[in-house]
Amino acid sequence: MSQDPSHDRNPFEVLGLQGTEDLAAIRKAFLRIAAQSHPDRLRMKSPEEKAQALELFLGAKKAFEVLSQPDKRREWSERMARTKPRTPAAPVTPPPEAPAAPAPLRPAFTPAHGVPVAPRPALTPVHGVPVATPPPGAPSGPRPSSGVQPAAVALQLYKLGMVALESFDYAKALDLFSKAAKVAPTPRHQAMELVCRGHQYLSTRFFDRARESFERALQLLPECREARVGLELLDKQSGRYLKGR
Amino acid sequence: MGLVLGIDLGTTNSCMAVADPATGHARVLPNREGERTTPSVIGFDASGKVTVGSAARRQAVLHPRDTVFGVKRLIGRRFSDPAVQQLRRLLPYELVADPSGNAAVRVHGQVMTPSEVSTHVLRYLKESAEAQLGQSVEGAVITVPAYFDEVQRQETKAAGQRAGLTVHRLLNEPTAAMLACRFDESRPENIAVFDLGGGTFDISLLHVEDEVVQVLATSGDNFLGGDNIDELVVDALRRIFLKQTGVDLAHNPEALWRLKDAAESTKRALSELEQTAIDLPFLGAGAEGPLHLSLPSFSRTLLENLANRELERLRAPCEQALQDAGLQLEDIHRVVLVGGMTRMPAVRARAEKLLGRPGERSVNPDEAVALGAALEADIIAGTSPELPRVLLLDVLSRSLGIRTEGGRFSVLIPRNTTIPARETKVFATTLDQQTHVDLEVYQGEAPSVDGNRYLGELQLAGLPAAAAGTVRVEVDFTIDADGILQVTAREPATGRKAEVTLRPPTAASP
Ligand SMILES: Nc1ncnc2c1ncn2[C@@H]1O[C@H](COP(=O)(O)OP(=O)(O)OP(=O)(O)O)[C@@H](O)[C@H]1O
Ligand SMILES: [Mg+2]
Repeated sequence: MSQDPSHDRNPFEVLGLQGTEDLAAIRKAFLRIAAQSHPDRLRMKSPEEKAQALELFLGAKKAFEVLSQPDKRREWSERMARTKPRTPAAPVTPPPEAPAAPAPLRPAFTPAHGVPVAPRPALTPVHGVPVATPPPGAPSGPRPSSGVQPAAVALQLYKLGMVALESFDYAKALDLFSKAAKVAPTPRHQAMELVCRGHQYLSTRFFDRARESFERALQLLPECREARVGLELLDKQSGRYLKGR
Repeated sequence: MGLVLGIDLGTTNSCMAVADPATGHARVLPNREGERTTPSVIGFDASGKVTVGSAARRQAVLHPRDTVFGVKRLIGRRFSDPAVQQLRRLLPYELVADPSGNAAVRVHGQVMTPSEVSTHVLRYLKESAEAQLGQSVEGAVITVPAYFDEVQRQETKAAGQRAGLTVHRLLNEPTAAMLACRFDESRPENIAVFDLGGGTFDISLLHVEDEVVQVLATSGDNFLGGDNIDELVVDALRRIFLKQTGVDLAHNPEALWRLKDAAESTKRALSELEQTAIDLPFLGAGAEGPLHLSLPSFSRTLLENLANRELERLRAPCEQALQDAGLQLEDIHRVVLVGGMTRMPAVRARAEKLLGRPGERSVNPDEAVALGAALEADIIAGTSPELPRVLLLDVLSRSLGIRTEGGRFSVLIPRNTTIPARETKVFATTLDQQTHVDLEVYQGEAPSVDGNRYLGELQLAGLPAAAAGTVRVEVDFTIDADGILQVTAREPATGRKAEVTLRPPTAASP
């Protein structure tokens, strides 16, 4: 189950590392994040705190798994050295991704998620191509390269975010919009980030917080259609929920 | 909330412990008879009365057909399984197939699943604890062999629930033993836990660093334990008796019970002595009256020769675990031995050879698992005001995946992946105009689904009709810390989605 590394965020970054560490140090970094984010550590916490922590855990775990393979470790280490010798990586919430080339956006499907399946003979649900885990890594373009316009990157992320949103994958959409907002902090990007949060709250029935998120999105961007849709949905669901009780 | 116990539901012996919320230490709770471990033996009398533990064991010779033991080896297994069939010949009680073809026992004409039988042991332990502590027991962390698959786990959980326990988690036995063992936190260490009990063998490799215990890999054999050795001795004794008297005891349950008892105590004695004698008067009856079995000398060498082939089966799982963990022998800092069978010198010698280090007995091999379970109960369901310091990162012990074209097994989450885990894979349709896919979920290591365990399925319908291979389906497997698997299938173009939470039923297919 090897995966094409070019579709993930640099796992060294995910673990808050520099890219020069050995396996022992990599493991240490993973265990440290695990000790804070494993569900057993959060038994008193709210569902959405747990959900957030789980994403953090899964991201760190994936990064550790990738870097446990010596050849992958070397590859990512070299890439890290090439792309960004400047900012020291911050643990847990690393700085925005180095600009990525626009992904060849194919009409409706997979790119958002990773590798389009290579053409192959007609098989049943084929041996698919393993795909990057959604959590923290912005599925960016195929190859991190330098010298790409931030605006283009942001647009790309935004489009991928919309694809994710349309398929109700709010976690992924949120991740993409917040990346877009980091690259280009426009009201549109920030509003969409809030819309995704609103949907996440909605799905865990935190109606007040969902409302707050959608309304803040509207404040930022009064013409935000997605936020209105979210509010309507919220009214329906909260009404039904209350009646149901 | 009531108390949460740690329970080691063993093949031969069960044990329970509880953590003190004030100190975070665990202690073993004796049963009603004052014993620290309870034989996993259940007696049923004709009136429906159930006896558990030593009491049942004592009456076994009188009621061999109504006394059930070792059901953990049967749990979640098919009746047709060759291992079950072989066992059947040697058991004094009756093994049958339940309506769905799983191994079950029949006592007084009543068919019971192994899980239902285990419920009696768990209920007995729960009630013993309540009587003793004067407090109600709400739930438990129950241990299972690390190498149990999802169905076996589910059956164990069901046994607990039927006994009135909330099963907060199923914990792997070697991991539990590790938690009970004191470790040096000042430097990272790799520890091998070698657990050979009455019915199962588990080997786990763990990494301990600061307050985290990370399982690196686990492997094992669910049909290898002290009972196998006992059965070889029973068979040897039966042959000797047949040769001496011409009478075969194979269909004589009373004699089989006595042979089993003798085999087990001979095996134990030979852990200390070089040789021992076996005397079983009135074992059978011939034309000229009662027949006795008397062997003035049964030597350790003879036992080891009998056991050799079975013990050779310890090797493969050890090598597999090392390989999966990416460790060499010299990377292992400590070897911890648990399970009663590690008292046998030949077993200890093998463990040390396979793992490259002298085995430690810093933990009590009969109690460590229950103590660890009690500590874990405190970690996940505890009432202590302070969060326990230790965090356990466990792994999935068998690979999970789905059926693909031609019955091939496509793995989504490989064995020994740290849980919680999530993996996504993209698949494509096989047929032109295919508008739905059936995803059958399996677990195991065989390349074809036929060799693996069926866990359940889900259907994703309403796919856009198109040429074969052009419609993609994303399949996502998520396992939470409790080992519950959530499967989601999604067609990204339309966003259509189907999901199912797999709580595997009893094995409906092999
Ligand atoms: N001194 C001894 N020498 C040899 N074997 C022993 C000794 N003491 C116990 N055993 C064997 O150990 C086995 C029981 O071990 P244990 O109680 O650890 O198993 P269990 O926990 O019930 O089983 P499992 O873990 O496989 O479910 C029995 O086969 C018993 O005969
Ligand atoms: Mg045991």
